[in-house]
Amino acid sequence: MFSLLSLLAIAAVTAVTVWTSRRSDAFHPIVIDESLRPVLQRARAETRVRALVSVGVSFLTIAALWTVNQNVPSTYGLALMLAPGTGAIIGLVTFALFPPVTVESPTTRRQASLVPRRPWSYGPRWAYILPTVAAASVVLFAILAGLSSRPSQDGNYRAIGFELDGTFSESSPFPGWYYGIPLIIMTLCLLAATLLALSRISAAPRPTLESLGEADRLLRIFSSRIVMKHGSGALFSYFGGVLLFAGITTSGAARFWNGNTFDAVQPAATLGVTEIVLGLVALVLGGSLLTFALIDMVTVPKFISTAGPAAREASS
Amino acid sequence: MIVLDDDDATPPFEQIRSQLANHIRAGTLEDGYRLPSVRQLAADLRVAAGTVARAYTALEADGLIESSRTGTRVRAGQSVTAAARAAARKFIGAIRAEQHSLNEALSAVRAEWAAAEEHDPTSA
Repeated sequence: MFSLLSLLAIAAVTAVTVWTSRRSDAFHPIVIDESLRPVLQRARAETRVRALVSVGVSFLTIAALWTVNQNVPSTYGLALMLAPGTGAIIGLVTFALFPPVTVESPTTRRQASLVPRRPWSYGPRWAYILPTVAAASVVLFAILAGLSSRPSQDGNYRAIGFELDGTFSESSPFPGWYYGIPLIIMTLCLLAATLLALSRISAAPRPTLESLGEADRLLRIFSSRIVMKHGSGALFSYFGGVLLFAGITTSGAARFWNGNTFDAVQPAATLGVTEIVLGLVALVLGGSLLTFALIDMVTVPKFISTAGPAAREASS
Repeated sequence: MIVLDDDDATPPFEQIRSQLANHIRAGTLEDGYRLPSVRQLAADLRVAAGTVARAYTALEADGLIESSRTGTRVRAGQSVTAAARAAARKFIGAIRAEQHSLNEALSAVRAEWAAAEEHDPTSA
């Protein structure tokens, strides 16, 4: 518990540090005509509610699976491992089910851009490639771990064992097939849910007035950021947890007491330590991304009216 | 950018078709440029998907665009030459100096075009 609190503290400090230092195009306030303020305020509120409900549903799902894990020990921690990913999947599907946020303005002249919108149109390319590569890594890791696993005393493939000089050592819970198959299915579902949510953001109709185009683009950027941080944060969180347990069990099973010191089976022992380090890094990254998603929700784009002094200052 | 005007008597599908054709012929939409999907353009213009699909079909029949599994793209070699555009600019300058409207200018072009075809049918 102390380790978990430490990780969360590190994630929170990292998040606040980066948040206070970042200068992104998406964060600049937009100067708008006073008459458009109600339209944009409504769209802004809808964007925020959509994101808040999505994250709220995720937390409720995580809490439910945490309770299942506490009350049904026969799942051997499976419910806990699935909690962050399942929470994100249900949260992102909820996000996608919301009616699309449109910046509507009644007019007889309607304008449309001829630039095709894609689910990945509202963020840098690396923000979509990195989580996809990470998801592929999760699947690959689950397969390799499954192949390395062996049945534990309960008959489930969730242990790892090594032999040294006729002595056998086994450690559990290792992410073998018992955890690996649900992990692969969950990762694929998370990818699909993320793509669905991003598709809903990009498919929403653009405002018919070109003067509202920039504000509309910013709201889409913000929604896409929250979706990607939510999905990626969950992915890195559970991958971090899985790597951590894989590392702990691999290191434990690869060390043999010879009476004076520990003999280590190589390269398993080194691999175990590497998994622990990578797991901690992934956990911090996942925690940071989830914290960023929450921060983004309270910093939905600000629109400055042309009638106000702030607008005159910004436009001068 | 496409503009749809409810106050214009021209049917919406024709407004879309003619503006896209103009963009392609003027070269603002380059060869191979991928157009937005029917659904996206229809949603943005607040018209039925069938209206945009009809415009796309007409443009495809005119040989300006082509559809495939990867989407709808501008066909190569559909834009007018730089020399033709320069001539058009010169003509516009002259016609505006005479205080004529776009419709009057187009009428003049059509009349002269017809006369030229009558004089030399192989030149068109």
